[in-house]
Amino acid sequence: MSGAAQKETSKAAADQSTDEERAEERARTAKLVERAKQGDLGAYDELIRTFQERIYATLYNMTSNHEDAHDLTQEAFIKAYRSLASFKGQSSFYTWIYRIAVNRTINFLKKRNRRVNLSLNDMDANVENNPELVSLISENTPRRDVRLSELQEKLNEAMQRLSESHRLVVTLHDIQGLSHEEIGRIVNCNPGTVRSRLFYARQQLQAHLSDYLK
Amino acid sequence: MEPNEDNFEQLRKLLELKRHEGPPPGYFEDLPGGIIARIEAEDARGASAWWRRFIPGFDTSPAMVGAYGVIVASLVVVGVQLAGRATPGGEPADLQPGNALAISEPGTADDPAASLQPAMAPANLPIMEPASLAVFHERETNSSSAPTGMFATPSLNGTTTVERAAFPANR
Repeated sequence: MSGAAQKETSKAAADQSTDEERAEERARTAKLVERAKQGDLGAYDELIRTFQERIYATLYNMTSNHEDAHDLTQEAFIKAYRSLASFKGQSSFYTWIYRIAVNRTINFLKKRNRRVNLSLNDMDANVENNPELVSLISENTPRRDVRLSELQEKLNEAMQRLSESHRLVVTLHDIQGLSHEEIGRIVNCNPGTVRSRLFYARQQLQAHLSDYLK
Repeated sequence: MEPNEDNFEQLRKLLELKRHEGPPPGYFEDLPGGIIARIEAEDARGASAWWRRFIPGFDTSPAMVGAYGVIVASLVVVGVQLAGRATPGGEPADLQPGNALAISEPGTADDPAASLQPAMAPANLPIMEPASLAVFHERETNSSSAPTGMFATPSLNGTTTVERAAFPANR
């Protein structure tokens, strides 16, 4: 078997195993949701553990503030628990809880003072091992001595300059890695709208961060 | 590849930096316990009141909000209409003065003033006016002088005859 054919075969096998994992994940989530609906808090605890990192990361990137993200994550999961009876399974639990978290966060941001208080989390150690990021910092910026923490701060400031809807699509697509279709289901608009918002948001970010880009 | 995707390659790399931002170590170990504790605490103090169960889908379903709004607005409209019927301009037939007996007993001999209220008088009886009041009215209309005061009592001098009010012996 040639190298290319082997690659194709291994890619197909990987895709198949990913699909199977997703199907298993969905079935497991559906069972946990049913148990949580009956008032089983142990099952709900498992659901929280499954989705907490993704929800928290989204809300953190929306607020650029750890305390706000923490409060909003807690509120979103509590609200979802109280609303479980209304979850009919028409969308995935993942989409449904994302929608609750995102709606609450957008309402919160509209009420929040215009002056944003950044409370940024630390970078994990892996960032130093990411050659692309290291090269981006050391080679592509006019200020070669730029520190990682400074870049992080500028990045968050630029994000906060975007409107909530534009920040949301950048967060969900470019940081969380969701597809346009998934984002459309969460924010209740079509994928074309998601694409156009993403394009505009990137243009804005590029303008704000021009010193740190080529 | 999407249109203009190449233009943003550098930006996307920069945004990857945000994937490395994370909460303090151990944060995700404690978060579920904190959420469950809050749920249990709310349950314990009866926070799941009736109105919480009434509005479960507000965050996820705008249609639900609209439906509740229409119901509340309808109740307000019905309430206003019912209130309008009870006002003087829109009294129901059984509240007309002539039918006052149906709902209200006129005054007795011990309480004659009650039967002097025109609105409360029965339709088949003439409205009675005490003679003393009639005399007072006559004095007031014939007098050219200004009244002594808004709340001045009529003077009971020798020219005035005071009569007791006459009431029908039997009604």
